[in-house]
Amino acid sequence: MKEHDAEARLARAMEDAAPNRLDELLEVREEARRQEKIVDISAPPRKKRRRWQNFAAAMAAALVLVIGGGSFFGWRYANAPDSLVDIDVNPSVQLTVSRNEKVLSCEALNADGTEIIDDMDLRGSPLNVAVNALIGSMVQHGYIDELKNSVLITVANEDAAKAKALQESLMADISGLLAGESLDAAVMGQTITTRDQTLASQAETYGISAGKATLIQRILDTDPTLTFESLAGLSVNDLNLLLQSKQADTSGMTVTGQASDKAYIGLEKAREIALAQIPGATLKEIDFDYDDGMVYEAELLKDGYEYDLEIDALTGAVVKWEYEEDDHWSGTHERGPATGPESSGSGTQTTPSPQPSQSQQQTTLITEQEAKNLVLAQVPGATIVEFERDTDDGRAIYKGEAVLDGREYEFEIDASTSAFLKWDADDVDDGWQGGSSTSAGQTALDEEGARALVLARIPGATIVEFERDSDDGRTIYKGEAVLDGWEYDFEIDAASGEFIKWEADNR
Amino acid sequence: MLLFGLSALEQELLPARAPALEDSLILRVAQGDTQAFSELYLRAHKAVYGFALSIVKNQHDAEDVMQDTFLKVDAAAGSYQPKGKPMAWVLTIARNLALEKLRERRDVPLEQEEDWHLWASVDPTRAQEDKLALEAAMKCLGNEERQVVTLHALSGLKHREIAALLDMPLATVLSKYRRALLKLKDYLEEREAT
Repeated sequence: MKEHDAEARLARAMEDAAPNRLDELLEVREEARRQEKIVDISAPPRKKRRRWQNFAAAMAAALVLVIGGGSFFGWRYANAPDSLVDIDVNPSVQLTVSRNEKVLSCEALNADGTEIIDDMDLRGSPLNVAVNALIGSMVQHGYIDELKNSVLITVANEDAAKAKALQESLMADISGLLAGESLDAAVMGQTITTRDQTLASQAETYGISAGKATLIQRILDTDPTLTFESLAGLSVNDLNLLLQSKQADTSGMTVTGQASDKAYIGLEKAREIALAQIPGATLKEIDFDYDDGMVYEAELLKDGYEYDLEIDALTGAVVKWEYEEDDHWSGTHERGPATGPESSGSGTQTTPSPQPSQSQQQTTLITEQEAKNLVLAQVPGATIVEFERDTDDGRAIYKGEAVLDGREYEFEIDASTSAFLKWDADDVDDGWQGGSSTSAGQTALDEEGARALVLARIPGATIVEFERDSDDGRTIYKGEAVLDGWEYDFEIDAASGEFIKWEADNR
Repeated sequence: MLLFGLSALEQELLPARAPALEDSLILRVAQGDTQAFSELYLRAHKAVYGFALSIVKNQHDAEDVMQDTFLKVDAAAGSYQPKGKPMAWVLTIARNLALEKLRERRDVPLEQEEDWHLWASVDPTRAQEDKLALEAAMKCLGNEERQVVTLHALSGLKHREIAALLDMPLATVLSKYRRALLKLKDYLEEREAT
């Protein structure tokens, strides 16, 4: 038996063991759609069955506390725990509030919350006074400022109308208070009228409030590829940014103001960086997203190729770079695709984005010879026919042309970062069999040639997977290569020698 | 004749790599197209099931995860970003649900021996072989090895995509894949020799 036979055996066994329950699923789906139409749209978009246990338990616990010092019935009635109010910024604080809007208890839900409450004793004070004190303390401690301006208020009460009224009055208080501090706040409000047991246990596991858990669930409902775990650690401001960029369902919520992205490089800057990577490209889409950290995800189109870039939202560094042939493209490729930020032969990741760490390095420029070596690392054996030093937008660059096997390569290199600013490959004539405008009947690229093409792009890389395949009737070579923590995924058209797919990923 | 024989042999021996899904299929699902949803299910459910099984290690939970995955896919299709990786997207959702299932089940020990049920009608010899292969995967592979080899065998994902899905370095995926195949082969050979 060969190893691949073992794999085939496993595949067959699992396929034989897989049930087909499509009919059942279609029924459930139909049912869900029918219910969706009649469900109250103000309810948070989640789960049909909800449980009350924890909410009731919290009420009962607080009740014991009150009864302990109770006197006559009227007092007890007015002072019985009624609502739970969660305030989340990054500090999370939960207030238990009585029917007559007095604070019965105040609990920190995370370490930042403890810092905020400090030694304030808010018990017995009116709710709005307590909220003012807490928000004031958050501003003082630097948790709310123009970089992080989002506040989430969640009111839990069985009485939906009452919860909503309380939520709105608190939101108005907080907006007013922050406006007084000259802060452009983004205040989100929501109510919880029924308890979701799954969500409650998630909140408990990760030590966050039920309110924040509800917010996270809204984001997960739009993008289930994210996990609760990864989002639980984010601040409410980051969650607010994601909520907006993913256009999550905010029905039943009140959202005012705009979450600040000033801690990040911003959409405008991210757009600039993306376009600088692929000059002349059209930016199709750019979004704020989460991928092991906050990133801007950009999609660009140029000459029939579609590029996906991820830019670190904090540093502006390009952390992911992929391209593929554009499915909707009907023309011929006049030029090959840009090969990405990793095309600097040094193997280190460089981007032309102006970050503090990089501007410090700009004191030393690479020499003419070093620049030439970078080019020759891309196209070993080529002749450099033109070479000059120039400036572009105030930065020193080297530019020129190299020729190899009937192809002409135009390049520009940033002299301070060694990054390729331009890399265009064009045929001088049709004499070379690997040229992109090869006519039919010419000999196709062989396996060795394909491997060499890959290694010419990423000298020193190891090809870990390589196979010959066919795609839409044409012969292609495809595989994977690794170098310096980057992984490259490629497909090469055997007839033309053209890269039809090139993805680089360092995650 | 010869041609037929070859292709039958290939089907028998080569890993059954599921055909890649297209973005357009998910976009149709997003529009509420029931036919597209059914097509997606038929093309992807075995890969989803196998992957779920490799995580939760029992058929009952794997079936739950499979069904829930497609409900989630249906609900979230509208926010799918068409980037040519629908299978990876579907499997990411399946993985999240399977891990959730594992956490829920933490305190409930599994029954010692899974009594494998084969849904496809197969002859007794093949059934025997299938059960042995499943037993081999559950008994002799580590959790990550089992996930890697299952994804490779069923989903059509590349090693790099598997690495991204499982949040592992590519080199780790490659070595786990190779080790898993060796272990499987040894186990099967040993059992079938006796």
